[in-house]
Amino acid sequence: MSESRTRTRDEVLVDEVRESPVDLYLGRFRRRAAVIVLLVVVAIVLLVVFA
Amino acid sequence: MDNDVIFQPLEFKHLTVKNRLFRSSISGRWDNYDGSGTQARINWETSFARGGIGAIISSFVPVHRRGRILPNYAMINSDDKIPFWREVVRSVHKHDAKFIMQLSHSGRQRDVGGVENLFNHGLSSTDSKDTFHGLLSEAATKDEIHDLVRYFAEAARRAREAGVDGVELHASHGYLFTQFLSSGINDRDDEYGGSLRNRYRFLHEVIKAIQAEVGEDYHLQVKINAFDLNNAIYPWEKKGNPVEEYVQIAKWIEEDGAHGIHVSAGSTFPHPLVPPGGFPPDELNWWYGGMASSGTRGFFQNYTLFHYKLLRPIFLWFWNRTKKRFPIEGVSMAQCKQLKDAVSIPVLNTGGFQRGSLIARGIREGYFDGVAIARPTIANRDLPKILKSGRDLPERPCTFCNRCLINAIANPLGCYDERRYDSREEMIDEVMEVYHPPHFPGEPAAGPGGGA
Repeated sequence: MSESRTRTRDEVLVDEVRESPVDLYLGRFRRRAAVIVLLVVVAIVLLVVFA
Repeated sequence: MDNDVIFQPLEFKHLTVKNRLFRSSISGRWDNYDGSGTQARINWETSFARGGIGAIISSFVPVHRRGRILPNYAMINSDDKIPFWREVVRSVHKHDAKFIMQLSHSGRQRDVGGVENLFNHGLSSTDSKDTFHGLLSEAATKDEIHDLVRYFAEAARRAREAGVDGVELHASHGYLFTQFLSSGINDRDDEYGGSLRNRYRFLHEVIKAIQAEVGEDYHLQVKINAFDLNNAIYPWEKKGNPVEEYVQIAKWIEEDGAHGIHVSAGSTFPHPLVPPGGFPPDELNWWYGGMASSGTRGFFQNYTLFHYKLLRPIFLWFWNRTKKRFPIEGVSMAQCKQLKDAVSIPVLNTGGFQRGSLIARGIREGYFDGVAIARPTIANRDLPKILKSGRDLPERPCTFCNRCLINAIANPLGCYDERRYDSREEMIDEVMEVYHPPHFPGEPAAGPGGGA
């Protein structure tokens, strides 16, 4: 859980930045998708280099 | 703590309010899609009256369907709305509070136009898009301006027939009147644009039309900015009107016969300074999608920035960059004094007021005659009673997180800061109190607009 800070003339407001179950699911999905894309790119590069 | 001065009556020419505390305009989407009212709105307004507030300034009440900011806000665009508002007034009066209706038109700043407005642009002084969401705009013709003037006059007549104690013209926060007044927005080259006098002309015509329609003895106040700071988010935008121009506008408003001035700030709503405080990125991620399709920058700029954690700092840097020069409580108080010094009619100020000591000092030292409070009264409906008891702050004060602001796009308006409650369930229960007492089909309606 991260924080959001707002600096004003007299004080700094601090608030939590929360994640809903949907946010957490989408985060996991995006991370997996990024890893898969990365692996595919690496595989293509390896094929091109060593084929 | 000497809060006594806050509880002295405030006398306008045709209206006396029992103390110096006004509930500033704030609302949720309580009503029916067609703008007829519901019991929830009566409950909402009555909860503040019960808390000891002197007068309630209604939510944004559109004078025309094309000028609403969101669907499900009660309107005053036709005579069949009068009985509903009469019922709101009756309920508020039971608690010795006055009710002032804020007559409003969104202009181009129409956050969710609704199905009726899908194929038109917001009517404005300009063809230029709104700078924040990219909401499309169309410059009103002179005939359309004359129609707009008439809508306001007719709305004032309906308000008076409903027993409303007075009306306020919402000429701040970037809505239609600001779009004419502000040099940062108005780019017309006819008699409604150019010089300050010309930019004031639309507001002048509306004030005169209302007086002609309902008489000069009906309470009329005008809410204006103390400054626009139209470039608060994006530095490449024009700055808009400085305080000196609003001092002149305040003088003209008094000359035109209005009975009070309500001072705020900012040429958009929301604006980095109004409401003062934070801008919660998690709530923006959850609820901004509801209005993302309303403007050209909705999806491709704002929603993308709000949705992806890595991009949020970009938006928040722009949003927060001017805040460090201003306080939270009394954000426009210093500039308000310049307007108050220039006029002799009562002046209200809004912008984060919560501490009794600051409000009392502002009244004693001539910054304003009273304050209008929105979000801190959502957190504590009985804020007036708390201040009257001599306390400076409530036990659980408003934290200025502005979660209420973002939730209002999609959810019932209320305090959504869980830190103020023992549990999330307790917080949600309090938010839902607005639906009690409910209205069921078959029960006598609160009014013809009471709706089921």
